Amino acid sequence: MKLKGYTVNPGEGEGEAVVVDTPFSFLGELDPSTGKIPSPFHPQFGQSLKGKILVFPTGKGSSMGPVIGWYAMKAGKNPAAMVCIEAEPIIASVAITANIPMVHKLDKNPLEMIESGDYVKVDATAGIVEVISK
Amino acid sequence: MLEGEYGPGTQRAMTFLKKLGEALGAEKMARVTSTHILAGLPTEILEQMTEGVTKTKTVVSLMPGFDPIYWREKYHLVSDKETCGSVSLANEKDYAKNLAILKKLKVLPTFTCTPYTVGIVPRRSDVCIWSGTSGQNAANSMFGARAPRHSVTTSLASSVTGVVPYQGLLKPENRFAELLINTEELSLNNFTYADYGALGYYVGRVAGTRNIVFEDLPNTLTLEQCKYLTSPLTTDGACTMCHIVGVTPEAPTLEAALGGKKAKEVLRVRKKDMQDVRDMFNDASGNEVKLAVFGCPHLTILELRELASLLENRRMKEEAQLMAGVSNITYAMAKEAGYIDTIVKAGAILNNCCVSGSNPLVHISGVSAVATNSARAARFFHTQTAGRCRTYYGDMESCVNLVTTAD
Repeated sequence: MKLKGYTVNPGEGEGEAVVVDTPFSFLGELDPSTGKIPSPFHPQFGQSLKGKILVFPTGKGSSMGPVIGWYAMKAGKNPAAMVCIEAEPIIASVAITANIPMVHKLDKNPLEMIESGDYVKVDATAGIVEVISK
Repeated sequence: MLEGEYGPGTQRAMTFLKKLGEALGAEKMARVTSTHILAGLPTEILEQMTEGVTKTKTVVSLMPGFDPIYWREKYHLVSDKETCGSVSLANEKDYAKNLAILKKLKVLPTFTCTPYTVGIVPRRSDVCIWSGTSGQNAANSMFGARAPRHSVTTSLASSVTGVVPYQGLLKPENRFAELLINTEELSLNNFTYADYGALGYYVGRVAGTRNIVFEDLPNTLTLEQCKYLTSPLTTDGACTMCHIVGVTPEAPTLEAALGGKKAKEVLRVRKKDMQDVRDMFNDASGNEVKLAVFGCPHLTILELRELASLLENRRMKEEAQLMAGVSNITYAMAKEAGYIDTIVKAGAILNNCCVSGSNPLVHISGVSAVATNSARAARFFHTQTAGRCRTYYGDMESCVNLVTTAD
């Protein structure tokens, strides 16, 4: 199955999907030294996002997001790509600053079309998300 | 700028903003009045975006953050890691390098998350690209400025170029509220700052990215009450446009805040919702508390006066500490007024750092229970210590009483 959307940051990435149902903040929800979700208040506490395709509704939280993304990039702990319903300005600047391929505004809701564990190929330059069900 | 005619830094900043603008569907750039940036940015980012830049295109002021030089000199607290909690920190060498770059660019050394208390007071319709989401909310709600949600890298890029993508809250049609907040079930008469914070935190979490309007808060809300109400709207949410009828310049009436339309949804805040937030932020008992933290966002001069009054003839309990974040300018005025001497005599620590998200007493020394009157700080202490640090949540007086005793 292929979904078509728009580029937030170009590039390509593929890997196993991690679907997070709630808005995501890099500050507090990604530990840049491990790539895991460090908050025990998060439903997916402990889940690694390193090399994964992070699928989520939109961003939230602190304007520090890109700094966390930057350090995670330096440590090689960022998601391989990100897919969201619609990026707000801070999550968009995380993708650009940390050079994470990212797509949004897809023709179908990615939260309904992608399940955690699916294999997903993201061509963010072309705005195409290919989903290979698990 | 994109062609490199203004140097490599400007070219990189403009390239960043162009990509951001395309992602956000902006068709053009808008001129920026004021920018507020972070001194502790990764040095590589700061160097790259300012290479060849001799003068910024906006008035630029500085956020507080983690100051590794201050913490080592005063409290011998240093980290060999690149993070304090999950907040990044430049090491001492990089931080000194950052300060030298910023000084050369004649950036205002405000070191505060409340620039509106130190002379950076936006006019209605000014375009403010401010780091720190609490300041963005204040600029929109209290001053009617156009302060869209943006990150610390975007505010740096706008400082260098003087522009930002024309989208979001810069467009008048995007500023109207769609979610109406009703608080008639709450007893607002006795609302403390902590209560306003709990309300703002709850509403922000429900609102997500939507614009909101409080229809029934008193139009006599003080700057401090507004600060505690609006600053946690983005702690677990992304609500950057909060109208308060009778307070927000664009919201003389509910109709004006809604743009003449009907609210898409109404949120009635119940007493139980407030209690749930208080319970969530009260997972430490008072006798466990070893640290009280105020100033998230930074204290105003009136709050410093209150703190001095509460600390009169009191001293710290054994092994207890009290830390408050305050800007250099507010500190200087409070010093003249005699407040600082009282606060310091009681043994409290005052600094111009970020006292919540990157407070090394919590994130490096590992204090496990903190009292605060700030919902924003309480949430940061929880989330950025992976739940290790618990909090007591109450008004300033009750927090002060937990860590001090009569002299």
